[in-house]
Amino acid sequence: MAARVQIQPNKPKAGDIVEVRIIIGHAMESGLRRDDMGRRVQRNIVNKITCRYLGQEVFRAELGPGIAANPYLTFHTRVSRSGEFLFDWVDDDGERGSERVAVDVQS
Amino acid sequence: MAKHLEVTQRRSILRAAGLAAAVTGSLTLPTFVRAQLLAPTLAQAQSAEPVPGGSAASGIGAISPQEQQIELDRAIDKILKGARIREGRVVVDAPVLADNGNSVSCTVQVESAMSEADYVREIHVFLARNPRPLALSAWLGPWSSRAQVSTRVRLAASGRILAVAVMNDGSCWSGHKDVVVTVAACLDGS
Repeated sequence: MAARVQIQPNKPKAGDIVEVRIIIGHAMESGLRRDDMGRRVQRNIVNKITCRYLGQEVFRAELGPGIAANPYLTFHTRVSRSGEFLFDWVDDDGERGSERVAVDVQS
Repeated sequence: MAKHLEVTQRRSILRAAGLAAAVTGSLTLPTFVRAQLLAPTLAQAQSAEPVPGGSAASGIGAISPQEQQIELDRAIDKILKGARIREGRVVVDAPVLADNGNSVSCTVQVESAMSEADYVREIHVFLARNPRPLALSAWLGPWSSRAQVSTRVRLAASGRILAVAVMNDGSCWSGHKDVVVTVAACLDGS
């Protein structure tokens, strides 16, 4: 599962609040849709996503079938020093994905 | 019924007054939106075949307003466990008119100092007209510094996006936005 993470501003100063955006490539099959044969398509969505920065969890979310395909999330956090944002997520099939993005904090 | 009833209050009225009456009465939307809300959806009109579990065969936009209200109340109860929800402090930003219900951008912002003493612990987003109303639960903390979360949601029909914020002291605040959808999610099979 591919994902893209963006951090705004991309060269923050220590103590700045940054906006973190992530988009994950996933169909987010709701489990309510039917295929051409009328059979119900099994639900498969990214149901949980966490983000850690400098070893600490800064954001956690649980998603429902009401989230659009290719789930997109943004949140904010304060950065103190250069480090990595580490994202982890899992879908209903148990398939896991992760993405890491380094942030370069200017002192 | 008063215009801004609290959610808990509304729920007790709902039990007392019967579902159909409550669903019609608790709407605080403009008339044209109300008409659209209460009109049977395209999917309902097309499907005569009942399906176990209450949802109709042709799409997810096809459950009755009563069932939707029950689903919504159940989802809110499950998350907030009967806590008193007050209106205010939460702003939901979404387009008033969405062309495509498959992807509607939605931002929830909560008025909070986000300090160690006073911060937003959780944000929950409910989609009132969806068969599975709970769309997102997010956990924040004082480190978040700004109590704001954005995402893109699916809307099965024109209706309300309801956001509830749980503060660190356990108090719950809510805000909402009514969105009109021209093409609902999932009706076209995508």
